[in-house]
Amino acid sequence: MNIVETKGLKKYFKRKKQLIKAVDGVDIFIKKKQVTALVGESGCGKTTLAKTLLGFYNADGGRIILEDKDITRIRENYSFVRERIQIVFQNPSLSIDPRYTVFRTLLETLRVFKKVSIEMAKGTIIDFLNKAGLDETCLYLYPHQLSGGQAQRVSIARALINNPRVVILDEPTSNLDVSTTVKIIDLLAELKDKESLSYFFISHNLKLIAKVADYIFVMYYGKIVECGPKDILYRNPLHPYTKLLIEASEYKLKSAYIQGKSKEGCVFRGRCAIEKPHCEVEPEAKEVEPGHFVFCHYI
Amino acid sequence: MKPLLSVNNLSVAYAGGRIKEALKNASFKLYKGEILGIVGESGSGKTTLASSILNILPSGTRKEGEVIFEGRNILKMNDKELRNIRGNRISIVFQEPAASFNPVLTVGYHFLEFMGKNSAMNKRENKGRIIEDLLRKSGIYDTKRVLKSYPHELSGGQLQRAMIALAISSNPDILIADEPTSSLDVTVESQIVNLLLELRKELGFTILFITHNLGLVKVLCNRVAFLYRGEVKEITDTKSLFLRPKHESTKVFINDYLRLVS
Repeated sequence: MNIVETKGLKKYFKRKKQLIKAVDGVDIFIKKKQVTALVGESGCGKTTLAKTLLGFYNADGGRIILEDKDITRIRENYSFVRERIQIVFQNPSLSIDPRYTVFRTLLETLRVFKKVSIEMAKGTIIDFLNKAGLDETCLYLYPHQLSGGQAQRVSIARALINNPRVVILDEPTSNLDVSTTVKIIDLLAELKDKESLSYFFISHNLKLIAKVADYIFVMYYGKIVECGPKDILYRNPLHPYTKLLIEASEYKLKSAYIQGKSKEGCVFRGRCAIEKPHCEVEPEAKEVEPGHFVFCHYI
Repeated sequence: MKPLLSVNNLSVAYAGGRIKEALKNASFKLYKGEILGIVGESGSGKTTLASSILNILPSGTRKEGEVIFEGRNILKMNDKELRNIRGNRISIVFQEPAASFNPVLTVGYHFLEFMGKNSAMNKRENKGRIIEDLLRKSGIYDTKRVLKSYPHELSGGQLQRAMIALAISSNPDILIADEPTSSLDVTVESQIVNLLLELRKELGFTILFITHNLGLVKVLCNRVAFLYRGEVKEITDTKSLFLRPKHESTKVFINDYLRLVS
């Protein structure tokens, strides 16, 4: 059962008269009560995709469907989307207003959808801080007085306070220590079951993804190149890019740095070891195993 | 065997800092040809340790103990002697490549300036060719463009390669790598790590590798020193660190890591 789906989603940027196709015809889905992951290098369009889902950008093409409702024209559906999808960003110290106390940050968020008095709100806020593993002593602290892990917990409490259905986690732990990462990942797993959430987990850390995800999308320069259930994808990665990422996560990748996107045909063409004439045509999805799709001519 | 570098009872306290001592009584020895990993969480004193080996701590910092390199204490050297050590006998590659270059100067200028400071290299002819060779060794092939570029025009991976080229240009005895890959992508990280290994094989320098990534330590280091709140808690070879961590804080750290990857 899919809670969010995109169909041929596009988001282009113009820079110096050049068209940058940050998200170029992406079909993804987020399954209910599961962790769907998105993997790719920096600059491949992961965050743009997340921001388009949330309506920070207007899509340039394609459709977004949330709970069977078309929300592509997000400005007409703002509150519908925001009540259901929330996000936790990578760097908590940049995503929390430095002039607000924790209490005020959470109060503002709560009051977007509900009219509540400060006294009533306080109970809810403490409740959600507790859920995120913090206590009342943090209420009147400012972000700079919190450690990285604590600040990320505040971001999590902020994302959850309006009881969303989907939470987008945009590299939630890449700024944190090993021990803090473990604690945050445990917390997220616990909250997912308790609040019956669906996660969209964005990361470039394949080892972490292997730990948390149920279903994985691999993205390269605005396109999905392979997707499949976690176990299948790690057991049998097929697309050359997925193989390259897995090799890199084990520090075995040596080849000199070539990155770039070919103008036509397969996006991975310029960097691919098996380039052949067919690659000039854009590959279509091939289902190799149930639920496992690859976009490559030579698989 | 005589150590190449030995740090004895080093304590460092920053002036006006919240933490009293960034390093407490740290001691370890670095032997020729090895890769020693310095591991610890953020705030455990890893970078302070690297900075004190080169004596580049801010003025007003209280330092006790000694850093012995070739029989002499680096912490007691004067500026002239230090210039002969820094970037010459001991080089460093920092975490954030974009922050280690001067943003208003081209990459090529950094090389020329560095060679001008280094008298031995200044006398050599064909500087341009030497620089291009260095860049090629470090995996940059469009050398002309990179040398003419300003730091913001290059990617993080390319800048880090240029930084490594700069660090090895003086053929150092020791290369300190202070989290050289933690701001880079997975694919670039893997390439940079393998580049360091290849260069070490070719040029024979010793590496002091500072990181919090135990996965990297596993593939890279011969020995590991574990830092916790400014103290060296444990020094051992990499295998036994994973199999038999002795200190409580090491155990916690390794268990956390193993839970994330298994």
